[in-house]
Amino acid sequence: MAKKQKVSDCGVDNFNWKPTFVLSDDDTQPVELVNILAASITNRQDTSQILKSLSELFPLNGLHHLKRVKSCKGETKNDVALQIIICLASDQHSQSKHVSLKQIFGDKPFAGKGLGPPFLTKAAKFPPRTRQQFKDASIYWPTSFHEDKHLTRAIAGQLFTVSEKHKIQCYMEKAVAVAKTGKERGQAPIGAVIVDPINEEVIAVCHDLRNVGRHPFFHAAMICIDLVAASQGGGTYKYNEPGFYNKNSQYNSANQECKESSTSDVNSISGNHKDPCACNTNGEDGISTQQVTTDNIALLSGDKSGPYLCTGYDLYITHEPCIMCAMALVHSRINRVFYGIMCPNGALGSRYKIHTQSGLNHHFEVFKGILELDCNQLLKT
Amino acid sequence: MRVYLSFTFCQQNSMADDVSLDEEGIRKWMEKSLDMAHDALFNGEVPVGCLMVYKDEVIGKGRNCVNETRNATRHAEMVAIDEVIGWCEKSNQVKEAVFSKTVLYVTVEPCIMCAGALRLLHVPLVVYGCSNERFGGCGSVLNVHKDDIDNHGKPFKCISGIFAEEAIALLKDFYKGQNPNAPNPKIKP
Ligand SMILES: [Zn+2]
Ligand SMILES: [Zn+2]
Repeated sequence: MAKKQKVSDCGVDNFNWKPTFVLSDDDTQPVELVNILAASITNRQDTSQILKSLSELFPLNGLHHLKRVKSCKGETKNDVALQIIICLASDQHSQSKHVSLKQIFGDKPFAGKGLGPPFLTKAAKFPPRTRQQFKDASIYWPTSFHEDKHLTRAIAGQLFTVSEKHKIQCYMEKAVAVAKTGKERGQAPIGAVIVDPINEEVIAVCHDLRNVGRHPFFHAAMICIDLVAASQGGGTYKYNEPGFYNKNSQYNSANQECKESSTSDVNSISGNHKDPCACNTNGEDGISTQQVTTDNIALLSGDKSGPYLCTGYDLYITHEPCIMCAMALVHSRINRVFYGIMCPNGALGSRYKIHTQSGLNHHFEVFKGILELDCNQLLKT
Repeated sequence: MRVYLSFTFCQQNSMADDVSLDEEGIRKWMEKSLDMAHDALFNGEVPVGCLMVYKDEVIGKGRNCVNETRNATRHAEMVAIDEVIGWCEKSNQVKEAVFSKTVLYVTVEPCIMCAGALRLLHVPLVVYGCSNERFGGCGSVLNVHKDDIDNHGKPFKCISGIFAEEAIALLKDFYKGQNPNAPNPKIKP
């Protein structure tokens, strides 16, 4: 178990874990390149005229992120030379050793006047998405970069304040605790917690139940989704396990420790929000034993304006979800997923990246490495 | 209605050892799956229905019940799988052995979640109607049915296009009734 952060430590970032943003393949892939033909501009004064002619003659379709003109070091120390993209290189251009202006322009009115000998070079095929891709692309040819500030901060691990990291840790500690309960009962040591981050309210808590005579699909994430459904008057199964919880259950009184504020709200975003640093002060057994009932189904006919599936909710789970669970989270419209350790068949970063899968109607952010050591420890005897 | 079948395909892959298939049976089970989809539509759910057939016996049926349960994972396949598990328990059969010789008949291509679920159970064959362009896990969005995935057993085979038009017609009915402004489902045969 990670050291509990004392309230007095709240302003200090001394966590033994760090949230790693799980990027899409588009964000991590190396820069894809295309061949281009470029040439030096002999006389700077001609630049705008040449630019105009070339833009009309050879528009850079699909490559508008590239800067057409690039400045580079000239022959003498303080001399700056300009180079310009003439056009995208054809396969024929790319294969021949030498391309002349005549070959490029033929007998077009603008025959490349004012240009030096053309040369073959490379440039990024797509606009860069991350700062790293921007840096890598710029080595070849300058490109524009519309930075997604949120993404940059996420990649740099700067998305969360110390206070937010305390909350993340608190919820993951709950997941680790319930995973231990499951482990003691012969189940896979995987725990999950679903939280409403706006109200700082725990909605559901459970551990895995796929082993030992239960359902093969009782993976922690699937059960948690069903417990959320139960909290909304739906749900499919009855669970009778210690440590399980859904917010609508009649036995939920003991599970207020993440909400019940105690000492300090100093680092909370708003004074109204409870300080989850107070979490766990009354021990790990604060979660009550309870039973999910489907009696609440009567509620179904009523309020339609209430919470909808897992919209706006965050999942904390000790292990990376599998493909079934990951897609279940897409169907359930989860807000964010925080997990501890990766799994080889995992679908939120390892085998697939379902949360960024193009074509799907819902995407979400995923952070891994939360209480990594504690989650790893769960696997050991 | 044309039925696109390739029995040689099954025999080549020694599928015949595990499951028996004939054209008449496939049509029969798909018609029953369509009945399940109708039932879903009648109850205000996305009209997808399915059957799970083991040794020529239906041991599980399902239709979507996402709205009723407020659980977005309650797809027809998941409901039918629950029934099969119940059947195994009642008749004292080993789940793993049963699933590995059970055919799923479903009106729409299983989604990524259900395809993953079927892989976990080692279901060998899925017969479906129309493809699922939005969520399909058997070729439309991802190839969960045949990708190499740790701990997920062998790939499963798919036979598609059986009563596809009927399956699409039901989906169109649903989206029309739900919301007149909603776009048509992006599902093509
Ligand atoms: Zn799973
Ligand atoms: Zn599905």
